[in-house]
Amino acid sequence: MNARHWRRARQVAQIASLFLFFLLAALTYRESQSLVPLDLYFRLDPLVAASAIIASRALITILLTSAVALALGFVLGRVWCGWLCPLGGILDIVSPHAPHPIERHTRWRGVKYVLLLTLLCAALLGNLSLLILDPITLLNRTFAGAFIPALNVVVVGLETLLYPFAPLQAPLEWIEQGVRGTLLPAQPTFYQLGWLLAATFAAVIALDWVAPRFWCRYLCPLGAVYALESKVSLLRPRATAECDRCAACVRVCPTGAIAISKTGLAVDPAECVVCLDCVAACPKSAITFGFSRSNETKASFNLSRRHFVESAVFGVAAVALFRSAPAARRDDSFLVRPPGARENDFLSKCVRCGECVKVCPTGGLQPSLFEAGLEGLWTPVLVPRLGYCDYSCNACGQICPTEAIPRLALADKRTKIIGVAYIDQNRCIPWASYRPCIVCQEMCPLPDKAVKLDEVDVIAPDGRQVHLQRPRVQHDLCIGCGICEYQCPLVGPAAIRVYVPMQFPPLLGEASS
Amino acid sequence: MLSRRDFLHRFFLYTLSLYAGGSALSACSPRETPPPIIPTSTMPPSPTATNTLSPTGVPYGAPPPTAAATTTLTRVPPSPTPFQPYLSVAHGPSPSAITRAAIDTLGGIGRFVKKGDDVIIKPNICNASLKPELASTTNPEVVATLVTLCLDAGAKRVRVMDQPFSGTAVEAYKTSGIRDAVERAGGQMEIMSDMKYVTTSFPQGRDIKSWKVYEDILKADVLINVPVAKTHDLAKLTLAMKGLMGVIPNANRSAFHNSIDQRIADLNTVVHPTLNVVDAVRVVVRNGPTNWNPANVVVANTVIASHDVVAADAYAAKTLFQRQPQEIGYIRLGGEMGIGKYDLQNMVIKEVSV
Repeated sequence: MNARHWRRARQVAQIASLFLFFLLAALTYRESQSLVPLDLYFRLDPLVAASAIIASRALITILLTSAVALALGFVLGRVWCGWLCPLGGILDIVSPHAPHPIERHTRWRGVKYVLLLTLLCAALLGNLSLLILDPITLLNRTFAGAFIPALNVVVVGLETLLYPFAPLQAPLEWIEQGVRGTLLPAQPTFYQLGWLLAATFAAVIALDWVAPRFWCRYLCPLGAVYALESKVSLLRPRATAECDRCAACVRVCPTGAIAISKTGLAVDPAECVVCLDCVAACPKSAITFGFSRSNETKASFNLSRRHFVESAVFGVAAVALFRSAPAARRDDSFLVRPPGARENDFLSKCVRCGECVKVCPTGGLQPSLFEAGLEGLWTPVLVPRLGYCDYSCNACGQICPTEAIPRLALADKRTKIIGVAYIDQNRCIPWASYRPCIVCQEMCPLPDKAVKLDEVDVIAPDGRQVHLQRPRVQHDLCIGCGICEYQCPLVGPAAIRVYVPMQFPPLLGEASS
Repeated sequence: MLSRRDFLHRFFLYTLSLYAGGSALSACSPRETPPPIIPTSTMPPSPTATNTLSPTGVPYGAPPPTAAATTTLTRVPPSPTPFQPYLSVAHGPSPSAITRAAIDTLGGIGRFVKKGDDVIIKPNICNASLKPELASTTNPEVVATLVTLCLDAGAKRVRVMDQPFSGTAVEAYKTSGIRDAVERAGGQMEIMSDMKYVTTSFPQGRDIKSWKVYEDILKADVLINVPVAKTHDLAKLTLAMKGLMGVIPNANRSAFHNSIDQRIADLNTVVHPTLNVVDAVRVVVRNGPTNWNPANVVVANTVIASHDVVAADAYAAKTLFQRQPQEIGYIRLGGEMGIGKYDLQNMVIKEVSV
């Protein structure tokens, strides 16, 4: 295989990896069967593994497969970034094909290391907020909360547009029955912050116009892990004697890793993503990759003691600020977490990957903004007005790669109290409007119905005597699944709402007896 | 000469600016008020008020006028010949045998299904949590038997569908046991798709003037409505007429409960099943429509069939729940509005046991 073939192989690998990522992401539905684990990319992410294990003080065994990727880094350097990372693949595809500008701000390359160290320092303190910057979680969240729902709108829109044309109906039906519940959600989902997820992703892409692979060069904390490994990794580019220092390689290098030196070229191993563009671009075919050390390397960004101190200060300061926010003192009224998560030291286990958000068949699990404070940014929260916790579903716990949402059997999940419903009698139809409605009671999935109906005869404001069934929540039965709130026919907020569950302290009598 | 890339760039930019300009302009124009679809201010009709209204007098089975007027609509249910009963009832331990017997007594499936027909069977698959033994969803054997009967009668295709209110259709089809039974019998489960709901006018509707309805349900040659007999805390009973709520979009179904009896009756002026088969193999007698307690399920081993949706409901109410048909608001309204008959005295009813 010559240089061009290798480069072609890299491109194929990138596209295949991107395709696999999207396929696994799209297949993440309740009953999806797959040969490879649906959370494969999280299992191959050493940053997610290390920080989750540090923060939760628990050995999360399924994440240990990421050691393979880590080992690969010691041999091949940042080959993950150049060949396999789906975000890197996207950046390579969309990046502007203009000649690369000369880099002015080499010091910015330190940002990713500081982010990485800050992240690890915060993880030591039990915080994982910065994992929102992990490229896999970033891409997956965007996919779950923005791309899929938008794609669904496009598909349904096209189908509705084309359906009236008789000859198209059979193929459309065939497509719809094929993709519904497999590649597209079983029912349309709506995400309150889809635009913000999309905008964040767009910003990462847009930075490519400032410098190619801006994200990978300056910001990516996972890239920083591999960059640190690359300093000692074995695979290195080298210029042979034919090199006439024409600098063709310098111009094509997407990460600006190459400089011309007196003897030929000097490469910063921490920045080289082994994309092989330089090998293909060299008019003399003078660049080779091999397991021998070249004698000259481009000055690499070196972490100083100062950076360690800075990162530690940032980490401690951030966590201290998070924990002094109101969210740490008292839960937001509507911070309904997935089943079992609340009792599970959730914030120190959740890696913000968005898998639960994607798998939730009703679309009720939403990436949160500030409901759990800034610390809980992008952690899942159930918004019952948009989707309820289905009584027959335990998918979020099954997919969660870190068991932040415990892997509950369905029978156990059905007893987990995630919230508690309260009726607003000022708005509820039979209470406030003297008209019949029992939807919340009808929908309540519990065997004994947590919503009860009280039969009353009352005098309506217009003087009529009316017989009404008025709903009442029996709070010791309610598990907070939220289907009552979801189905409440009122416009705007429901007249029955799920609040965070109350922790009942033992009654005085109980404690003494 | 523009390069493709430049063309796309410009096209994108122009489209964006046109869109922005258009939105800005339209934002300045006065807003149209949307047509009132759900009149929530009207009180549910009291019995005295509706008694003064005469039935609309529209002959039962007149083709329902809809938005999709150019397409063919569900065939008018054939009235019985003098030798056929108006309604049939079959009792026996085998769900499959009594389903066949009830249809045979009505004159055989051939009375309803012709060769080459496109058939839709609409059972009750209301949720994804309850197993068939709890009778919140239609008995899978009854549904599968109907699929077999239709296919044997030469139906081109038999589809089975409903839209659950809790859980997704994929799961509910599986949990209810209906998917497996139907597929074994050669039918297809269809997940009801957003693209097929059409805004349909309800010219005879008293409360509903227009609502979205699943187009295929309106257009199928034959529609077989297969509810399971259950109690319901608001409508008192859920049977064939109420079961048709599964053909309107889930998104605004709860709004139906506002004046549920009238709206169910209105829905039945537009959706006309060719045949109604009430599954009373197991009957939920308390705590319906989603009941978890086996003690609330009574084994009745009965199937009721008729081309008249009101008659089927009236008979089920009377015999299974010991309620006068007029007590059930939507049955009474169904009779008043000429959708069908609930007067069981003057009806040819044939009961068989197998």
